[in-house]
Amino acid sequence: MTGNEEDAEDVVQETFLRAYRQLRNFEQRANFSTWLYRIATNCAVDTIRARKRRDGLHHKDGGEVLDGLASQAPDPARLLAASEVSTHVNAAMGQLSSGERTAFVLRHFEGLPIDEIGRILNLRTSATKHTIFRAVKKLRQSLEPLVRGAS
Amino acid sequence: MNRHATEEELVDYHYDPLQATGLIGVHLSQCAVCSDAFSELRSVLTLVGKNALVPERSEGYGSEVWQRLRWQIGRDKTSILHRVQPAAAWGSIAATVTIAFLAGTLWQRPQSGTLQAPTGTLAGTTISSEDEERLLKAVVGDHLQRSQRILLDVVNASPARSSEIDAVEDAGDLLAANRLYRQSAERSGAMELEQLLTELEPILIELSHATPGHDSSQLDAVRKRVEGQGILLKLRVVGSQMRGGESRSLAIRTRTS
Repeated sequence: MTGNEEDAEDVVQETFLRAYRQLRNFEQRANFSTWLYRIATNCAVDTIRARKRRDGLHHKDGGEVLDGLASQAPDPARLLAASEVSTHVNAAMGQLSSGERTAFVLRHFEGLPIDEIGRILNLRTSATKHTIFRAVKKLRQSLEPLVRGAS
Repeated sequence: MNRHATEEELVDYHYDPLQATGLIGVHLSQCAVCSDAFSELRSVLTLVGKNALVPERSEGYGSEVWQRLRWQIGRDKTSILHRVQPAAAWGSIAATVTIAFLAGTLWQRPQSGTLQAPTGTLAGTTISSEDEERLLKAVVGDHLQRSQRILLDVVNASPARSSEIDAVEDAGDLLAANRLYRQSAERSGAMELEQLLTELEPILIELSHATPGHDSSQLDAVRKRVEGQGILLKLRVVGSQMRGGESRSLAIRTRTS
């Protein structure tokens, strides 16, 4: 989600610290992992925001401020020069918006069901599905040439 | 199905073939166009799964994070323990624990506890309220640590190893102690502790009722409950606070009677 290992480490630590401090607010009705994922998502978003401020980039629209912030997409010249598939894959992941990447990671890597991802991201089921679909579509557009080339 | 599958349907089918409409599966077996599209989709997603940079973490990663957190949590003034009224609450619980300790009801079995002090050494001792509180924290902290260890065993065991877990036997002991601490915490208004012990109790009941060595579905149910409630984190946090003074020895002054 952060596209950066050091930031990810900070997010992990901050997540558990926030979870500890908010433990009394955890509602038994909710699933603990959903609650923890939500905190982690918020921490990641805060980290990305902070990085953006650090980097001196400014967006006016608060809702879209996260889109592409964690993008580590290399420029076309670097992409062409890179031979490793993982570089292409991570570049493709970096082109997803923050919301798309989060939803995709939770679905693809964590294997969470749609409704749980929706609860984490505060999205309706249909919106969650659509976000994941958009992510997959973008990844296909970026990576299909690679797959075709390999086959 | 008399049309081609949409891309969205194929994505749904890829991630959850059982949830997606059964028509898609049938259609894919009959339609070469959709079958090719699905293969291509799967190839891309497999490529992502295999090549995305997800840093590897060692088995000890959880402990590393915890060590870093302990330092910060230790400085946290909103500590759960600080929210408990110390004088009244801890005094009351400590009294109960001490009585139970002296009565020898909890740690009679030599293999079951780390608190090995025989009742004789406590008989005839005078314990100050401060020492009572320390004793309580040590005893309840030990209880939480043992509970955590058992639940970790259950959560980490593979289905094949479920039959080897000996947590079932220990759960019975812990259950008795847990009830005592919970009732004491309830009476004395140590709400955070009471809440944790209340959450722990049904898990221990379930665990103690599991058939040792056989029914892995019972342990699966416990596993789900543990993971769903985040009880391990709570045990770790509260247990760690309880044992915060573990480097200090219990200063129990013995009075020769």
